[in-house]
Amino acid sequence: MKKTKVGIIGTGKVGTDLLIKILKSELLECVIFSGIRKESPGIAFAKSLKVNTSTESIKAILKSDAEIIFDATSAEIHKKYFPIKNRFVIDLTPAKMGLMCVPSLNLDEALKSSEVSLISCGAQVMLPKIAGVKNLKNAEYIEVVTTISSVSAGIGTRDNMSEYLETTAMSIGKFFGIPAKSIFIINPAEPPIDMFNTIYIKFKNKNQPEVIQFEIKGNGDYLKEWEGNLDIINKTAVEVAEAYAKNNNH
Amino acid sequence: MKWLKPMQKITIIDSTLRDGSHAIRHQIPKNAIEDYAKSAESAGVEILVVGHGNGLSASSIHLGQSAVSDQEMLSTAKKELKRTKLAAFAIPGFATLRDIDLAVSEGVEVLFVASHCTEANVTKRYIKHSKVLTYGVLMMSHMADKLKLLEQAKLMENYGAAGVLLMDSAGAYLPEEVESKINFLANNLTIPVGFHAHNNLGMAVINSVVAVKNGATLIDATTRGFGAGAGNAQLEVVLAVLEKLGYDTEVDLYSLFKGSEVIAKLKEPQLISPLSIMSGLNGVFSGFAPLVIKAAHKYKVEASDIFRELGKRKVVAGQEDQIIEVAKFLKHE
Repeated sequence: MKKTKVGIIGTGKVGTDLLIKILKSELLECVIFSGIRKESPGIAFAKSLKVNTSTESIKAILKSDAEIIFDATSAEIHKKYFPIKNRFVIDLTPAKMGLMCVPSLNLDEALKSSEVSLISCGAQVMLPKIAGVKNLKNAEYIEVVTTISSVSAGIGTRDNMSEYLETTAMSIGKFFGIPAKSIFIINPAEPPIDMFNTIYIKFKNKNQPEVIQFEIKGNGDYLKEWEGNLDIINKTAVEVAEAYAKNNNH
Repeated sequence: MKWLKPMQKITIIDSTLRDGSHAIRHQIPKNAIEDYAKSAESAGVEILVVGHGNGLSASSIHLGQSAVSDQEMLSTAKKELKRTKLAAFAIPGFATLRDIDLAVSEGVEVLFVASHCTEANVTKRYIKHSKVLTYGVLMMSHMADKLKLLEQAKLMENYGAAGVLLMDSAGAYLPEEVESKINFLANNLTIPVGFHAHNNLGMAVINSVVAVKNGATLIDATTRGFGAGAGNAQLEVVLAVLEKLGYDTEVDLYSLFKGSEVIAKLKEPQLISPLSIMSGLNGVFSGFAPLVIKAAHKYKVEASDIFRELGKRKVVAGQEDQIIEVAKFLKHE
């Protein structure tokens, strides 16, 4: 089967980790890895793997023949350059301009849109778990708590804390119609802790909430294993892209 | 004499209606807020902090739900205040920027934005966003050395904080550590420095006084020590000692005694329980105690062992879900 051409904008550690995941894919081929900083370690790393790179940011992406574009920059940059025409965009930033997608819940719908938003790491780990809860129709309130290690909380995560809380809670409301609250904690312990998640579900006519707790470990591709919060977004992005590639293989 | 620096002005931050919330599982009733705010006003307290123990939007299953909503707590206190400035507390991760705007619309004039002591850059957007007088707060500050604390405090200063407070959230400080850290910060920052004590090792009042002696000009305390763990520095005592030492707090002690009666109705005097001692010794957040007791009971493990394990895992304020995790872990061990 012919591989579908993809491009990545953003050569930070998320973009670079995403690149490795794409290089492993049997359905995707990265034709452009584009950022702005010449000295970016991600660019050097990509070059060492013989990947076509550029420091012309969105220009190089638009010049390329990539069918799928991954945006691993920031919400601000995303809002500046997108939407774009005639490409399928998978947005890893918290800009949430595209259709909010959690693959296990609405992949088919997402593949029909031109831009998909991966919402937040919290949404990608919590929503599939919530969907699997018994008697969810009797739930009246949901609370989700994510704790990540300090080293895996980049400046983007820290600067967008308020938006993260609102977006994650809002996505639970959108997918399940249940009021929700999101809490986010950063822990500086060494060695770094893995992403730790708790879901509290309050049911009608029940005093004690149901409590679900689980850890998320990353693959350790380019990101570290404890950066499960970032790894999950990349895994999700590849999952959506591969599904798109299967649907649109010509 | 080294101990006397007469007439230096000390700003009192009264957190009775915020930290005290921890002591009764965030159930401070509306009438107590009203009555206490009245006495704080007549005593001339400069800043009165009101809300859930963990601040705006922290009412949750995770930490405990407040009896009265954030908005109602603030508006209730506001009605009683003229000279005294109403303040709110916000931890990024619980509170959003929208929560700050709502609090300000309820009449909040002072904001405290808090982070774990090594994570000050999460406060950047919040401090910059705030349009009222805003202080930075470094929680669990026993977990970082003075160089790290200075670096973090300077970040807050750069974001526009009017001052920085060190919180001894675990009640783990001994006076020597207060002296070393406060002195270092006060000598290296251009903005005022403050201290917020907990009494888990019986050091809250002396630590507050030592902080003042070493250049702190903001003292955060609570009436009757009403607060998480073994409580905070008892405000009436701190005021009396500072007065005796010749400091000026502009707070009328006798009027504040009326506030003490309001709090006495809410909670029996707070002793230093074995669990509070464990919290102080292991450097674990004071507010964990009620949930630790609950988990110990549910999973049939020792509450003290939970505290010890939490200390080993270096958990921070807000990681209350680790209590269940640790209790389960201890049960299976």
